[in-house]
Order: sequence, then structure tokens, then C-alpha cells
Amino acid sequence: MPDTPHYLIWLAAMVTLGIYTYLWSDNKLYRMLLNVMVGLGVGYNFIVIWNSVLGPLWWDPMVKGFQNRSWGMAWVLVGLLGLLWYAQFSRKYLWLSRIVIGMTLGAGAGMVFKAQFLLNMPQITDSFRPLVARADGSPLAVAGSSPFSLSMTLNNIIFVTTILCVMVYFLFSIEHKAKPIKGAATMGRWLLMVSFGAFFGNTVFTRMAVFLERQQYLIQTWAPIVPWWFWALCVAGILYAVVTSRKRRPDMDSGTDG
Amino acid sequence: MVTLLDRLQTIDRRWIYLCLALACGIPFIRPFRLPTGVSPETQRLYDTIEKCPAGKVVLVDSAWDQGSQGENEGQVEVVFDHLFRKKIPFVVVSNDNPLAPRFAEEVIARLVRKKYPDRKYGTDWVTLGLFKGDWQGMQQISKDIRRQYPRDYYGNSLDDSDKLPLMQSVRNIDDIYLVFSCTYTPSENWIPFVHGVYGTHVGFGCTSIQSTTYYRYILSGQLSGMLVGVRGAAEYDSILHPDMADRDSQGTRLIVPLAFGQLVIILAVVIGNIGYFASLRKERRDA
Repeated sequence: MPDTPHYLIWLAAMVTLGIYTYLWSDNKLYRMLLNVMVGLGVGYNFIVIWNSVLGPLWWDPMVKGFQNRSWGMAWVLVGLLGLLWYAQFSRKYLWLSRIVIGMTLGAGAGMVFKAQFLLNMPQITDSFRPLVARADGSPLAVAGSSPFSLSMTLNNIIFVTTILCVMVYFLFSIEHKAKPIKGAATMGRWLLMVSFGAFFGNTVFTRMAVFLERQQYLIQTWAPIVPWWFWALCVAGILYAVVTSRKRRPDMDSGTDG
Repeated sequence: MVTLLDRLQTIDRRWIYLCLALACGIPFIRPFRLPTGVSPETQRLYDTIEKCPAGKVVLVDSAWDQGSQGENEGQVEVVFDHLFRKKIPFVVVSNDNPLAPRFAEEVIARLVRKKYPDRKYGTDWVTLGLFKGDWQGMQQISKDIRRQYPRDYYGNSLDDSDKLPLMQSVRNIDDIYLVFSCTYTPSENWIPFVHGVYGTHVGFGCTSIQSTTYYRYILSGQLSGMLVGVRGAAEYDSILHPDMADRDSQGTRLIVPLAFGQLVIILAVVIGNIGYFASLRKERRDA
């Protein structure tokens, strides 16, 4: 945003730094900023939801229906049904909320059935792979123009082996005593560990990206407009914080958080 | 010696934060580029967009906000860049995130200002804004987009042919070639309700943390491509701009600091493990 006024850049930078004070320790500034963010988010969301969803899809057709004496008036029933959710706050009228809960559950169950079928059936069919394959993925035993591919074959062998081993690991109805079962289950556990490692690596990636975006803002947008005396103040403040905290906790660099 | 190695396990976390901030800060102060390889899932998304037939549009579900800006901003930026360059019209919606439309609009405005000043709102792209209800919204958009969106994000009627000429040729899923969903966790419901029912291409732009669960859809062909975190954005930028000097997307700007940060983390893990094994050895010796 090239035309952003300086006071807004300062505000964004101060809020960012205020939130990051949590890295030093939990404090009141951090908690206050967190509450302000939540409050702003809720207020903003309500306005956008009204303007984009409730207004054009419910309120406007209902008002038009009343003006024209048409079927649009029936939208008021949808609003009344929605209000039944709030009956949960009353012991006497709690039963009314069960009407909308039932409707929501019914619609949800129907949706889940369709979604799971269309989502998982292709997954199941895809897990049947030829162990000797052509470059296009088709089995070598079936006539085709594509040549034999060693990488595709190896890929498929690893894929099928992983599926079988992990399934055996989760087979709890038989004891893992027989050697083939025990070996496959152990292999399955190791393969799961590899996937958890991938999860962890990707988690670090994401957390780092969140930090980097803010750091980029601070260095490339905010820092160029900061006067020199502010930097001097910051350095003095950090030094003071380090010195006082070391006085309070002489064992700072051998803490238990590492 | 053992005492020093022992202490490696109990380094105060704030020293690690400081090292991380310094390592990541250097490439922001003195920016430079590193060569980027292209992964198959990124290449597939690029190829899918390249094959978009004339007369069809791309539906971009841009549902990210400040929480995942670091990763998703670069992803939508390169996809919008590609669509503008190929003159493929696109429609932007935001699934279940009221904050999201403004973020997408900012990225488009920046691209128009910097690279494509001749592109016009209403002709080359339309922003429809928020939709709630996830799968219900997806079904409604697929069957009749006007039932879900009587107006666009700025309050213009979708039937207004002067302000939104693009929307006169977009009625339902038949007019949409690809759905590109970009957010922290793209809704999997795009796959059954749009790809599963209508066969429309679906592509994802997701955070790295979520990508591990989506790779299976690439293998089965249910996803036509995927951009994974900052890496995906930087890779896509490298396909769009083979000359390294031309790359200027957010993904490219973040990939080098990210690599530096990852190096610090790897180093911290190695140092921590050295400390762990040293303390084990000490315990055994003492016993």
C-alpha cells in the first residue's frame, strides 16, 4: 500500500511489536491487544455477513415480499426458525431448539454421506495400483503404447506397501505375535513416524511464514520511516530489560524453556 | 566439555528467537534471489490454467486473511498474474471468511497498478465477496450463481450488463473451467460437490501445514494441482518468469528468508540432539 499514511504504518507496527512482546513473557499489553483484535474482528464480521449474506439473501427478499404481498413474505419463517436456536437459553422452551437441531443434523447427515462417497471412492480405487507399471501408470501386463517405467513401478510398490503396513498396524482385533504381522505392524509404525515428521516440518514452515510476513512489514515498510532517536530509545530499552531481567533471574540462559 | 554440551539442551528459547529474527532479517535488508525448482503439483496447476478454453472463467475462492497472509498472498498473486497475462477472466468469491474479500481485492489492485493497468473490473474480473454455508454455497454457485449472489461485493446487480459485462456470460458451473481455492485450509467439499458431481477442475493453494493431507487428492487426480505454502508461490513465479531478475512476487520475496530461518531451526535441532546424547553419555558414565 504505497499511499498508506505514516500514522497507520506506525499503528500496525506498534500492534505487531506489542503482540510479539509475548515472546519475552506474558504481559498486559499483549492481552489487551488480543482482546482488541477479537472485538474488532467480531464487529467487522457482523457487518460483512449482514451486507453480503443476510441482507441480500434473507432481509431484502422478505421486505420485498411484504411490500408486494408475495410469497417472499415466507422468509420471515426462516428467521423465526433461526431464532429457535436461542431457546437453548431457556429450560422451559429448550425443546423448541431441538426442531432446528434436528433439521441441521438431517441436512448434515445427507451432505456427509454424499461428500464422503464422492471424496473417498476415488481414493479407494486409486489405491489399487499395478506393481509392474508403464510410464502412464497402466499395468505392464495389459497391452499399451507407453514403455515400462522403473520409477513408476517403485512408486507403486512403496505406495501399496505403505498402505498395507499401516493398515496392519491398526489391525487390533488380532494379536501382533506372528512374525509377518509383527514385522508389517512395526514397519507401519515407522512409516507413520515418517509422515508425522513431514507434518512437523510443514508446521515449522507455516509458523515461519506467519512471522516472516510481519518481519517483512517491519523492516521494509515501517523501518524506513523511523527516526534515528527512536532506534536509540529501543536499544536503550532492550538493554535495560536484559539487565533488569538478569538481575532478577541470574540463571536466564539456563532456563527450563529450551 | 560435557557440561557445555549438556547446556545445549537448555538454551533459553529467546536466544533462538533472536537468532531466527537476525537470520531471516538479512535477506529483507539485502534482498537476493536463489534458484527455485518446480514441484509436480505446482507445474500441474500451471498447465491446467494454460489449457483454459476461451469463453470459460476461473472461479477463485480466496478465503485467506492476515492469519495466513505470509503463504496465501503469494499464491493468489501468482495465479491472478497468470490469469491477467493469459487474459482469462476470473470471478473471486470467499468461502466463510468475512475478512477475506478485502485482502484479495488489495492483491488484484496492486497487480493492476503495477503490471496490468488496462485490465478493468467487471470485464476482466468480478469480486462477489463472502458466501456462507460451505457446501450449500458451493452447490448454489454450481447450479445458479445468481441465487447465491444477487449482487457483487460492491452492490452492483449481477444482471447489470454495463457494470458487470463478464457476469452476463457466467450463469453456473458450465461456465467455470477451474475452481482455485486458496486459504489456510481449503474446503475439501470443493472436491465432491464440484469435481465429483460436475467434473470441473479443482486446484488448491494451502499452507504447508495442511498440504500433507491434500497430496492424496493429487495422486488420485481429484485435484488438478496445488500450491504449497511459500514454496508453491515461489515455484509458480519461477514458471511465470524464467528470468530470475523478473520475479517480484510475495512468494519469491519470502522464500530466501524462509530458507535462512529453516537453517537456524535445523541447526537448533542438531545442537539440541548433540546435547541430549551428551547428557545420556554422562548419565551412563556416572552410573
